[in-house]
Amino acid sequence: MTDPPPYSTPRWVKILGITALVLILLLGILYLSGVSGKHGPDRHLPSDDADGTPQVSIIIGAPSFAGGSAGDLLLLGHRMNKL
Amino acid sequence: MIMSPGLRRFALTVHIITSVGWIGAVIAYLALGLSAVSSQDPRTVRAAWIAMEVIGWFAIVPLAIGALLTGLVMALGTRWGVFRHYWVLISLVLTILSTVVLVLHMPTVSILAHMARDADGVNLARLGGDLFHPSIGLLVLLFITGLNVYKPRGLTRYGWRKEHEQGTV
Repeated sequence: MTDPPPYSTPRWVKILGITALVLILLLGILYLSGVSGKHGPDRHLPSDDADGTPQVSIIIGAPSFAGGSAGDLLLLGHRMNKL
Repeated sequence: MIMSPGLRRFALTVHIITSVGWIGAVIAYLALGLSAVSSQDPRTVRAAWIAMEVIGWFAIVPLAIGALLTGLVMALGTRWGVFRHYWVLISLVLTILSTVVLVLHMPTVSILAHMARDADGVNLARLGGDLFHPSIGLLVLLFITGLNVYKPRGLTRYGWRKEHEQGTV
């Protein structure tokens, strides 16, 4: 009776793993270097004021359709007129 | 527990409907995101953001959770198992990852949809669209679909051990 062949990870899984690792590293570098820009809602807003005060400070977000326009969405320092 | 053939077909049908529906809903979301980026008409941008929020919460999120749950049922209720084959395991991990990113991203969409409701024409144009997350998400979903159709061979270490144990018993 012969021993079963030793286990080996399939080649396509190895290639996929290396590709995923490279992509994750690339995204991490882009994020940390700031090249990819801001993340979250701030990405869609213009730069902060010269004094460094953010134009919109988001504390918590929830579906705005849940409670109308005032809804559950709490926006502090919401200065849309300066957008 | 292995499902009966009838139950397996039903679970597979629901799994295909939710999975393909998820892809379709993301494509619709992307189309709205593109119109929000490219349109110069404030009403179009506002409408696109409001629709993106509704599609996100009422179509994409339920379909994603449905696809994840029915996929788990299919894996647990058939001989494929969850941890035996790499294509099943990778599909599961990518589906969980996509669902988590989706659920974490949707509050941002709600915030921007809320802003779009209030903003005037000039400010609406500055909101832009939402293309990065849905584009990456769509690529991941298409990759998962390919994995599920082609089912490339390859046992995990656990699956290899189980198979060997069953073969020797």
